[in-house]
Amino acid sequence: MDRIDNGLRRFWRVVSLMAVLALLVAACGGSGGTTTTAGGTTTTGGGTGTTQPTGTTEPGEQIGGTVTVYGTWGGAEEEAFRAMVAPFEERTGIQVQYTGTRDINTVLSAGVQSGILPDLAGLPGPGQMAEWARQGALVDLSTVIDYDQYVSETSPGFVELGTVDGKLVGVFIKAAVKGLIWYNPNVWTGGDLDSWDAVVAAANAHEGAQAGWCVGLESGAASGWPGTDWIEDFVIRQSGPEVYDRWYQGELPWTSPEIRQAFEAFGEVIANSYGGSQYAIATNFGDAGQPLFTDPAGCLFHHQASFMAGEFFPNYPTSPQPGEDFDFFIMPTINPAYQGALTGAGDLFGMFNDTPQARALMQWLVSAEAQQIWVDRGGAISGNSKVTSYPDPISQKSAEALAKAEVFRFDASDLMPEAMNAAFWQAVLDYTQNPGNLDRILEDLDRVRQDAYGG
Amino acid sequence: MTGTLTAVREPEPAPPGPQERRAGTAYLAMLGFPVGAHRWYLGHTLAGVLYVVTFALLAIARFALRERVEQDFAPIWTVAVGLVVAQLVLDAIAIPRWARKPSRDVPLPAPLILLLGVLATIFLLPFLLDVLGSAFSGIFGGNTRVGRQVAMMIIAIIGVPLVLVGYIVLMEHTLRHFTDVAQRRIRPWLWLLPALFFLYTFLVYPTYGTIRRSLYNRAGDTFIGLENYRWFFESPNTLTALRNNVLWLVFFTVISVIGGLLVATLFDRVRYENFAKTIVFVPMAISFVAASVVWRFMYVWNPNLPGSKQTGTLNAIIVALGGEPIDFISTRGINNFALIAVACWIWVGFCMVILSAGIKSIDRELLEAARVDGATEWQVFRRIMLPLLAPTIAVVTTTMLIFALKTFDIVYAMTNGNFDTNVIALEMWNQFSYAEYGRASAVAVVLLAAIVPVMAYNIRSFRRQEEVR
Repeated sequence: MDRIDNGLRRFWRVVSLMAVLALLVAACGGSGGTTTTAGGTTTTGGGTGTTQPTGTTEPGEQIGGTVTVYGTWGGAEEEAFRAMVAPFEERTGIQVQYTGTRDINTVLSAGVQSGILPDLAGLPGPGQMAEWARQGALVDLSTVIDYDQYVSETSPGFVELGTVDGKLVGVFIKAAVKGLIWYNPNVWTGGDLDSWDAVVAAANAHEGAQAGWCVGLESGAASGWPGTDWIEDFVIRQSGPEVYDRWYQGELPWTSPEIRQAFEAFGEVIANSYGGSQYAIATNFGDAGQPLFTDPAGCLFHHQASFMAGEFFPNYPTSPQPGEDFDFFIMPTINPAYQGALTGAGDLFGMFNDTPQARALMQWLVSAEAQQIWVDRGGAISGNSKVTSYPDPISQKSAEALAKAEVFRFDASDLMPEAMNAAFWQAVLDYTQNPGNLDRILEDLDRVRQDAYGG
Repeated sequence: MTGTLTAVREPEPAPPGPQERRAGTAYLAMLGFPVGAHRWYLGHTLAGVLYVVTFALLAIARFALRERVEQDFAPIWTVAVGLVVAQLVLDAIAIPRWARKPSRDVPLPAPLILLLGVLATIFLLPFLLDVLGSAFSGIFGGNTRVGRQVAMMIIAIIGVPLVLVGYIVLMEHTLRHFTDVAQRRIRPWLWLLPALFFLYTFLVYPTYGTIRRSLYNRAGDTFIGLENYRWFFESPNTLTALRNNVLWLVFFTVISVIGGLLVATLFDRVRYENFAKTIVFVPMAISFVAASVVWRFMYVWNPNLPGSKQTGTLNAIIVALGGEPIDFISTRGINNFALIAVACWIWVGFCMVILSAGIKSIDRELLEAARVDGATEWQVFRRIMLPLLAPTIAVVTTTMLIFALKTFDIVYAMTNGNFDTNVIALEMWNQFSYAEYGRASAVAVVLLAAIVPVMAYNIRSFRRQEEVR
């Protein structure tokens, strides 16, 4: 072989190797290419969205296409949601693809990291929502819905909770009033009580019932939360909204007297509860009210949010009727300095992908017309103040309580970081089982607090 | 032999004539043009125009379709221009050289064109996805998502093999430029490369990433050394999880393996063996979560109060026998074993099947000989069956050990780790859901470190068994 041929051979060798390498790189880049495409499609609407003036999509306009929604609703709540979007689907031709998951936080957290997200989703809570909003994952809804109208129709507390850094990123699809004390008027004939001492006295006497309270803490992976509601209601009524705010923001130690006092008050309730602590732990929160309606009655009072009236009481074996078999009064003021304080919760909704379909659905969901559909199914309270017609006196009463609350605070555990929230649930169960370990339980909570807040 | 896989047509032996002409014809032949009809520069220009037009069309199509400038629009142009420039440069070097001394090898542009094809496919993919997606969505009643999924599936079914075939053709083509010895040495690696690439993407890199992430803080921007591991070995909750995993390791493994062995041995020679084994095996077909739900009902506890009945199967039995009902789920000291019992209920069938196969493979004559020599059934079992079964038992045991270490579903569905029943895998999940990715990774690494020795032993003993066969 001569020199040139050798040189040529070496040249080809290098070049072909490079080509193979380039192909491999291209293959790797290929997978990268497809992921950017996924991102590309999700942002497609973003491009058109900015040029599109607000509210051009009329509810009656036929758009077609689909919109994906993730939520925590299952069973009756899912049916209510589907009923709520049915007229929307008919009018716009848009298909709403709803997926219900109990692990919404994990699903969406992973989604925010990977970019694979539903168009709209129920958000786990204001705390998590704020984090995602700061990461830029949530769309500013003030350009999507008629902002002024939303503000005028919604209680300021809810607007504020959905706003992060001046941007409205979450709206309340429905609300729930917490701290309601349910009773069976056939057993408890004393009507509404307006002082906590009177409630305690009545519960201790538990005339006509085996115990003062019914408590049920079991709720699958979220077991313990009904107890956190109890403690929150004590904190806000004993120590006021300022302490409440500092507490959920992680500034107030769990070992502080205010929080300890609330735990102890909850402990007294457990001590006077039907079946005792073991029963409270083993009983599902939904079934917990059943002893109200047994004969003889198991308990006099049951502390739970407004949703009990819609999804749980009516489905009990004796099918209790609102007003006749069950009624409620708002948990009364404890410290007169904090008159009219109320806690509540709601289902926050946010938008991840700005598509015309998602816009249309969001506009529909916040409208009074859509809200009325859900409300009519019973048990739900609308965050929209234009919705005033409720199907039964109980829901009407809850809605009025929400409307006239002097101090309104969102469920504190939902505002805490996820790790703190989970530890709180667990602490409630732990304390219910071992009331003697309160010191250790509160210290453990403080240890979690020290690293759950912060980056 | 080496060239059998190449799709590229080899040029005719160079006809006599000006060298320039030969170069051009070969080049055109390689491009697929009829040989000898055109001069080389014509082919060259054509190829260049082809590149530009392809990419321009591609870009215009995407631009028109999406009604806006895509973010990945610029890279397309970069690649297109780069390719054309690269071709010009390479041609400038290669073709005169090739013309001076024609070789039987096809010149450079062949691999380049293949490469171009692959690149074009990759960049075309989103476009293709859009077009095919909307086409299919028509079939599926206007459901664009389903349409896109179907399109993606079809592209994957056609595209992936296409890319792999392209890779093989290109690779074999490249190999022809090497000596036979070098070819023999390189070829296996080139064939292995795609597999190694997948192994790297789905196994090596994630492992590396997890270990790396476990050394960083929650946000992932600050290196914090072994802080996450310190947390793991200091926080009471994870230590409880660790303790429970030890309970699982010991009790779950022992009960399910011994239970499986017992069932396999006892049912070995009965007439209704298959039926009995089927019954034991059935729980294996039930998902863990479903089994957990079933067993939650079995474990239901109600307080002993007037008007209340025990609705849980086990407590109903206990009360009927005159005992006090037990809260299996939340009583510490009992609940962990209640959970382990559920896992055993599922896995005994699996152990039984494997061990039963082991027993069946023991030579019957051996057992008969022992019995003829006057051995009792126990001696036969203890001295002959057990030693012969040892390798099978080892494999089953290690499999159960691994399952015990990574147990998750049953605990998650039944107690969610409450009442001191937490396990490591569930703690990893919890940390992940708190967005504590550093800690979650640290837990994962601890779990991995615990499983690897068992896994290694399992593979080794499995291999030894294979050698015996």
